[in-house]
Amino acid sequence: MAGSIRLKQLTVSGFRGFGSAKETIDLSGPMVIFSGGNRSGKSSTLNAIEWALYGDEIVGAGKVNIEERKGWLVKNMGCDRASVELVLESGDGDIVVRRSAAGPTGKKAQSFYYVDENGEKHDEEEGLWSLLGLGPKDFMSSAYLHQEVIRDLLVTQPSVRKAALDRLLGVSDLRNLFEAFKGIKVKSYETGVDEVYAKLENDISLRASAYKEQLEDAREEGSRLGLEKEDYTVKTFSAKCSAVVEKLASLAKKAKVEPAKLAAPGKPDGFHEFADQANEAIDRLRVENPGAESQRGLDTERRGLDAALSRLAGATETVKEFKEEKRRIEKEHGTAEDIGSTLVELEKNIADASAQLALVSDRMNVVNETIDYLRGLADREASTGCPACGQEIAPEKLLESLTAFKEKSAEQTRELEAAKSAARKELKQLEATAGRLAEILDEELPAAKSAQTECRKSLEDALGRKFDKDEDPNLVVERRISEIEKAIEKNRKLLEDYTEGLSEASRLLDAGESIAVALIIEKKIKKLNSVKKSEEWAALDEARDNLFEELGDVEKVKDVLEEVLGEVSRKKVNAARGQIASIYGRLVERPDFDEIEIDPDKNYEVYASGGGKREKLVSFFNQGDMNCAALAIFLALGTGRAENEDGASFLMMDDPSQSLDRVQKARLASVIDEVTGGAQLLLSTMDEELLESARKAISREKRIFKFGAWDPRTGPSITEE
Amino acid sequence: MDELEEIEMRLKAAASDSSEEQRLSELFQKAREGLSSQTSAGVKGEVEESLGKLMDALGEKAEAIQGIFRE
Repeated sequence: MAGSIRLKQLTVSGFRGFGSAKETIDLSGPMVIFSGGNRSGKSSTLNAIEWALYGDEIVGAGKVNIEERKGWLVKNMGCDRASVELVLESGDGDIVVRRSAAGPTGKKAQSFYYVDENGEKHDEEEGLWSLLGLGPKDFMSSAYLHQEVIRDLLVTQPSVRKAALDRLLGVSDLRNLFEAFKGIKVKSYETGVDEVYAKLENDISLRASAYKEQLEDAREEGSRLGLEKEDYTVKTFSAKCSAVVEKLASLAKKAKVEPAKLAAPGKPDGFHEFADQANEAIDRLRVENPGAESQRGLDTERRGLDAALSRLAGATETVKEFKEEKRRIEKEHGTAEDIGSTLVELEKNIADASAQLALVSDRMNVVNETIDYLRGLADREASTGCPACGQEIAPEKLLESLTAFKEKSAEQTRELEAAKSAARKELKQLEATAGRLAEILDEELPAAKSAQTECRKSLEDALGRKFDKDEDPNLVVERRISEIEKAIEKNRKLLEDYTEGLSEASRLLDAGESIAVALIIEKKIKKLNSVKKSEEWAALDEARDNLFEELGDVEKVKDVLEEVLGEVSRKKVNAARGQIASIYGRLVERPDFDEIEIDPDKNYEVYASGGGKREKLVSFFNQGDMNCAALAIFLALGTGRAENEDGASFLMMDDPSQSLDRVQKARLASVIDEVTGGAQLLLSTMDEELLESARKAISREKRIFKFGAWDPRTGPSITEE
Repeated sequence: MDELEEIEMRLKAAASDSSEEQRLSELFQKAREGLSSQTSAGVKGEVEESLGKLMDALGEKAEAIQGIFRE
């Protein structure tokens, strides 16, 4: 600890109203007065001390509750940087504080450090505040009197007054502790706990309803599958699952496939895995059913037989037709041999007719020549010798005979030609018949018979056996088809049994599932009913108890803090009561209310009392009297802090004489001289009357700085008297 | 600081057993750590951090019970 600390020297450049050239002010000594008019740079000089010590904490309206600090410019607009060096004097040596920054509000390129009385450099602001024993707010309330402090002490809302007086009384730490504990909403934590439990209770209730519904559904499904109430046991469940395994193994054997590797679960918990495997096995067996292949073979055989039989019938019919045609030709024309003989005879007849016709024709030529000769005779009446044979002939008679002969021959010729023509026609027809018969006998009938033989052979192949000689293929095939139909029927029955077996396995599985689901839900219901006896619930109760224990602790600490805060505040107020009353009495001479007092139990309400009366001060005091009351409180409590404790042993008063009359100003100077004897005082005033009073009343060594006209470029003009 | 020592003494007296005494002392020390910010909010933050952790623990336990339901 550095003991009491006072201001020693301030060097400023570029800060607010200061120009870029360094300005150094010697602040050493028990009393320093800044005197000058408005806008002469006095406040900038006080601000430079504030800023050196507290930096950003005193910039802006929100942090220090000073409206005029809103938009506060830290750096002079004509300079690059704001820099302040403050030398503090302690019992063990000097402490040098250096702060600088750029940017209008001093937020850029900030630099801060201080060198302590041992020559050690530090850059933590809190360390400096600890040496001073004043945080930013404490400083602004209890070491630095300005118009806002006067307002805070008397005028504004109770919380602000309370905070300001706490700082003056030095109990702000206690107050912060108490307010913090008081601000902890114990009730909301308790409500939070209630909500957690209520939510759990609600969840339990909802789940219980849901489980009940699920159990009813499972049992309804089980009832549909034929399960009775007493079937809902692990034993029945296991039996159903084992039956599934056996059934599937039996069906696999029928299907001639490897049985699935299934193991019936002993507990319902393992059912779903088992069900997946069993369903997979059922699906596989459904694809690989045993009758399908055989059924396909029988169908194919039957279709083949039907087709072959149909072809054989066709071939047999063709043979029959050709035979019938042959029989019809032979019946009409005889055999091929007979037809051949007939053809020869017909050809001979034609040849004979032709020969006769030729003979008749030759004879007719002679007759015609003779007739012509006879007709050429001049006298056909007279007998004459035949020119050919020389015999005597009667021409006319002969002519008549020959003419008759000629007509008879012509008739004979016509008959011969008709006979010849008929023979030719018959010959032609018979030749066609002979050709057709030859065609049937040589080609078509053999081909049809061959096809018939081929069909029989196909049937024999399809049947796998030879027909006996006298056997009717139709009958054989019909017998075989009958056998096939029987086999198909047998197969269908087998398939139905197999499919029914698979359905049975599925039903067993469904029954197992219903039992498993019901048993699992029953287990859950049991667990739900016993959840409040679980380890987890015990842990919840323990967590709740821990929280309630800490909330109880919070309440206890709060009560103790309230108790101690009240006692300390009362003690400090009581200790300062006399000093406050004394200072007030000297500043204000009111016969009606000659004393003021602070009530620590009523939010530090400030009362004026006198003549047995006690009234709230703000309700009837004028501004001057209220300023005097605030000055009395500040000086009594502030000087007490500055004189009695380690740390900052200086007070700064900025324009304290506002609203005071000339007499009160003179009294203020006298009081200051008396009560601040132990602490360094920096008084800033534009009030010439106060300055003159101070010159006269303050007996200690004074250092007076006159602030002349301020220049925007070079800053304040400061001269020491 | 005399007042703070006085508070510790009274907390000790208010405790019903050594366990509570230790708890109250620790709680107060924790609160004092928040004083560096020079605000009640700082102190409250320190204390509520601890309460928040206990509340979180309660929530975790409740979640564990919900886990039983979900099994």
